[in-house]
Amino acid sequence: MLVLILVACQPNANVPIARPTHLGTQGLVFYAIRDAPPSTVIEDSTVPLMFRLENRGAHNIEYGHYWLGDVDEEYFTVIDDNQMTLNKDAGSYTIEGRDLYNPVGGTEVISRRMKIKSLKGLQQQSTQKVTPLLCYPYQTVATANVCVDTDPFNILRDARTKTCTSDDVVYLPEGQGGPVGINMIETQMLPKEKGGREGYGIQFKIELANYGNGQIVRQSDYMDKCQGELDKDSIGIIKVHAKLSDMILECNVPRVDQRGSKSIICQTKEDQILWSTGGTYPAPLQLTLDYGYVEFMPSMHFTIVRRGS
Amino acid sequence: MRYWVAILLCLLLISCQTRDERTNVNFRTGSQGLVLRFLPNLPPVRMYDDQDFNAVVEVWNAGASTVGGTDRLYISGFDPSILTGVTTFGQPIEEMEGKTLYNLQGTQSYVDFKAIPIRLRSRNIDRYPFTMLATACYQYRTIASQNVCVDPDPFSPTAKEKVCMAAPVSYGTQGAPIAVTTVDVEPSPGRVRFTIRVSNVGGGAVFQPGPQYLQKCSPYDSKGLEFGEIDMVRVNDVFVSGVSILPTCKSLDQGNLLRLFNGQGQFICELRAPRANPAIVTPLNVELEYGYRNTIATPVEVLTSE
Repeated sequence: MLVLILVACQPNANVPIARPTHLGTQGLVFYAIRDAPPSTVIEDSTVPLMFRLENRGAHNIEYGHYWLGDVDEEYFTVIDDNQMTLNKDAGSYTIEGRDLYNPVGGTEVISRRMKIKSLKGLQQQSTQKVTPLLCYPYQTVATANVCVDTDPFNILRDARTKTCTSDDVVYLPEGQGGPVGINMIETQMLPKEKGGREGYGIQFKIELANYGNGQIVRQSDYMDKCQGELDKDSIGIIKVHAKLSDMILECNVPRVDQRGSKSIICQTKEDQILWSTGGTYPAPLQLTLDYGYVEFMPSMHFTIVRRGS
Repeated sequence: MRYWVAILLCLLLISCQTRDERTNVNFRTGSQGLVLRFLPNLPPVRMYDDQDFNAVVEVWNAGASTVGGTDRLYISGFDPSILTGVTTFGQPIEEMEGKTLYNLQGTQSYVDFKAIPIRLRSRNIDRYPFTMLATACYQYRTIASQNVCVDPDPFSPTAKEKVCMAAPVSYGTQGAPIAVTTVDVEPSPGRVRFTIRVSNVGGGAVFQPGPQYLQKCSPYDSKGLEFGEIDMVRVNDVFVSGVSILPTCKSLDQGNLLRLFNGQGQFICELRAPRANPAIVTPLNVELEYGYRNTIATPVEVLTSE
């Protein structure tokens, strides 16, 4: 009885075991920089266009791209340092994520210039906007202690002391350091038999979530949206790699919707059997989600006024 | 003067009395068999994955029976792919004498477990918390003895002087996790019935005695103890006045096994005695044998060193 009480009073095995850097629900965050562009600009001038990107997630972004939308070339163009006009795929960025030595993550300021054209005819002013679109590959690594319960139905009648049960649901409300993450993991033990010996397979129902406002796309196609058109088949595709202790699991990952609220199923393969001789214990489940993320920044508005007005 | 001589004589007489206090000591008390304890910091509450894991369990035989031989101690509750090198066959418990007339404390020994943690970074985790269990599986014996009143002619019409009246006898505990708690004595003409109540007072799990059951008690055994094996105590013998009355005992399964329900069970034995015999006070001895499992738990957390 005392042992049961002691075991029951233990801190739940299903506590976060990930590094603190792998917490949070943000990936790339962005800010417009004040007065770049200024709220009022004069025709036939060149003004700065700047915004700041911060990688607050736990994954390094390599070759993230941005595209500047809503550019009305009748009124202005965006140019690079060589005075070349930019439109689709305006540039790329590489920003390191958070780690032990850089707990806040990396930052990059995107700096371009806008060449403001002359207002046409009698037009005194025109309100315009630029809307950057960010496209980047990302990875979320979620780890949780799940229970490998080799006597889930308490068939072993000897009232063996168990330190965890597969009924325990793991909640991960804090995110895992990426805009897409795992909310909840449910475990189910599946009876299996091999060579007359009874054992168990293990299945996890994993609830995905898109915490950000962006769109999940297939990682290999993440640039398409910033470079042109994105194939519809790429939308909502996440690659999931799951590992329980040292066993690689197989996962069935459906296409996720905008909110990412889909459940995926990962389970042991046919030949992977957990025997009750292994006992019942908490084991780390590691889920690696690979995806592309596409997100619009809020539009930056400015008004072009006639020179001398 | 005569008064002082008398006092001195008294003192001399008192000091010359030989008295063996040990004969008054009942070492068969207490509700425990083996008592387990993790030594402080073994295992540590927190450790790093570049350290070797070391757990030492203190095993104290606090009861009155000898353990050892086939008895084993196991540790479990962790992922064997993270804490590697721990045998699932357990470690033997060395032979340890229980409490005796000359050793009222029982004996202690220590069982050592070593393991090597893997680097947690290889699993992308920072820490691995778990609850470590230490489980002892051992065979134990209860020997209970108390005086009871045997009155083969309780309803005698003639007014005979009797030395005792039949009444329930409380046995207390006997230095074992399974105790004979009470014996109800029910006299009738020519026979006396004893209702012997047995209770699991040790807080652990009891099962059939025998090496095959000790093996199944292991937390790593694939089948574990089954319904017909758990909560079973074997009644080795019941003696009254040196006579075994075990063959008369009822409510026992084959092999003189007593099943406990919610940790308690009872069986009835009977002594036949001629009505002409006088009522006597005589010891009723009960000997029980069983397998027993104790488990203790402690939280452990392995942290990454990188």
